[in-house]
Amino acid sequence: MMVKLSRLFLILIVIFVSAIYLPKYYWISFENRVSTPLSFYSPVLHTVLIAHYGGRNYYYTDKHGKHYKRKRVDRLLPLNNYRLLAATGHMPDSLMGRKITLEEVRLNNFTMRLRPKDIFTPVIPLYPLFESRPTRLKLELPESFFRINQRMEFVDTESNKIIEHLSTDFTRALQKKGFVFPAKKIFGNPTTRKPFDEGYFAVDGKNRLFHIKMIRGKPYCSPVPLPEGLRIRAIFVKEMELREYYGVLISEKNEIYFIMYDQYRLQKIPVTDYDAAKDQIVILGDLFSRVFNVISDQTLHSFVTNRDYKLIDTYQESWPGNKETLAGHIAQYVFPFSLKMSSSKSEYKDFYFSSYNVQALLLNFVLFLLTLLLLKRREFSPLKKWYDPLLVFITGIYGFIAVLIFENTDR
Amino acid sequence: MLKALFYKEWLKTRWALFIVTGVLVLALIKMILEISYGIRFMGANAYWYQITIMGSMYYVDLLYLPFFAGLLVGVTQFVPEISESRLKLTLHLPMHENSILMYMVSYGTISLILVFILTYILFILISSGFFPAEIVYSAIVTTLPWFLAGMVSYLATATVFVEPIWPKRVLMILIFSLYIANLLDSDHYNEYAHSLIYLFIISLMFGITILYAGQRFRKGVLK
Repeated sequence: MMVKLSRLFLILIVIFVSAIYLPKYYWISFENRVSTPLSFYSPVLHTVLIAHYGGRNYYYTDKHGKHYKRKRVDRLLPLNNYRLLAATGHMPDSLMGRKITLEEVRLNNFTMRLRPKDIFTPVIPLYPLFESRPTRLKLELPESFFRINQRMEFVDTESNKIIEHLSTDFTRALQKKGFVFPAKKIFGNPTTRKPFDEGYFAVDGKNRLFHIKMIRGKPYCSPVPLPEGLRIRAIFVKEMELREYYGVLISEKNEIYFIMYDQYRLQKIPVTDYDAAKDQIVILGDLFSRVFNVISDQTLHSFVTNRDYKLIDTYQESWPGNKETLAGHIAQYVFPFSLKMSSSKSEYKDFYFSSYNVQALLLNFVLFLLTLLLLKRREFSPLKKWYDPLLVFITGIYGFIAVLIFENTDR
Repeated sequence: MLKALFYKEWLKTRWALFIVTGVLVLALIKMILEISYGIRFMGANAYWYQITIMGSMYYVDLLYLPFFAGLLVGVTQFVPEISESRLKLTLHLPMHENSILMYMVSYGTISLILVFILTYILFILISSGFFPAEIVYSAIVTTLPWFLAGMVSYLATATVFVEPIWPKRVLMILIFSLYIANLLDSDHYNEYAHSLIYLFIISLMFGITILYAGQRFRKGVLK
């Protein structure tokens, strides 16, 4: 009995390992790069232009599929290519009927990329709180890190001990504004490579949002009013000289908001079809517009808004994934399922099973018959050893390899 | 009888266990030196920043050590058994053959667990001296799969040695290595936080894989 169990475990280990590594190396051999298009908004043509990267070909199309060479597009997207145009003297001095300066263009340009991996990632809940008005003007990494559990505590990095006066000050300031300890989530942009510091946004025990920063060694704390029923999944804080918004808030229902400098107003972004667990968003901002590119494995869905965040244009495109290639079709007939321990959508190692490929049942059945034949040749009664063929029928090639390596030795 | 069996295993493996413990302790001493050097040169705040925000693992030296520990203990315990087929004599002791094999691997497992627990206690004490609980906790969660890999490498080694046929041994080594590689694929802290418990359960299966090989050994199979 124990020996039977021992063999079964060996077989399960083979199935586990081969379901990971066979598809993995199959795809390493046959997978082709699928390059993702990206939409830009042209203030010259008043329409989206879609960039198609990929190897040597770098071209743009418009919504109707008309091709544009890269060089020509430089002038159609003057705000994205202002350095190039200014250097060659081709920068227009007015656009959309108004005069523009290079300084203005630079200030308004920004790019943000929000990936599922940045949301689904482990964190160590200790954060450096920067002095947001540094006397020497440059941002410096503080000597202490904070946590927000039963109170807000600052731990001195040198001595690994709690700094009492800072902790008391900040805890009091938070309590005064009605913060309920402990914090459920804390979001910030802890780097010195930014123009200035806006501190952190913390979700309190009652799912309310608070803005916390340090100004000249003293706490600053302000509640951020949220729409009724909004649950926060993640916030991407990004300090920009433009000072239009503090960061991007993503709700549990996959709604997107900007947290505006204008009294923490939440500006809803008219993006639909977004799933934070699967899609990444590339936000392109310039003087006149914002482009929200929602990119999933096989589709691009772009939403263009004006500076008042009213939708002015949309674009959608799909492309075949690797599943639709010949290698993909063959894979569906060979592998009944596959298993991955890592995912491009999450920083966690987990059991990422693919869905079961019904097409593979054909091969599974052939392997099932082969297993019966093998049992017979070894003079086993298939009726007594029914579990081998059954396992092969379900797990296909993986199970077959397993029963071949660890054959039945017990009579 | 059991005491005698354990004593025999102890005679075979004691040097390996001393060496393994010594190397792990040396690795921890190296870790202390590196942390204190890092803190002196970068500043404690920058060092913490490297860990919490940049994701550097100050304990990364421990990544392969438990794996090699398991391998060494397995080799020293089972090489004497299979050279000149001494295992046949062992299996002729007045005890059920499967029980003998199970006692042998439980001896190795328990002694490795003791070594690993000792290492962990030191590791946690050292880490707590430098860092707050959050960092220590993440260090534990991050290193657990590595120590699990150590247990698996020991059990897998035992099975491979008892298996009598070379081609099958090679296949076993391939499969077990791929499984272990899965546990050592760490490039960010706490990556295994969600899957660790399941990997632990799957790894438990290695506990009795030796019985299949043992049965083949007894039967003297040729393929």
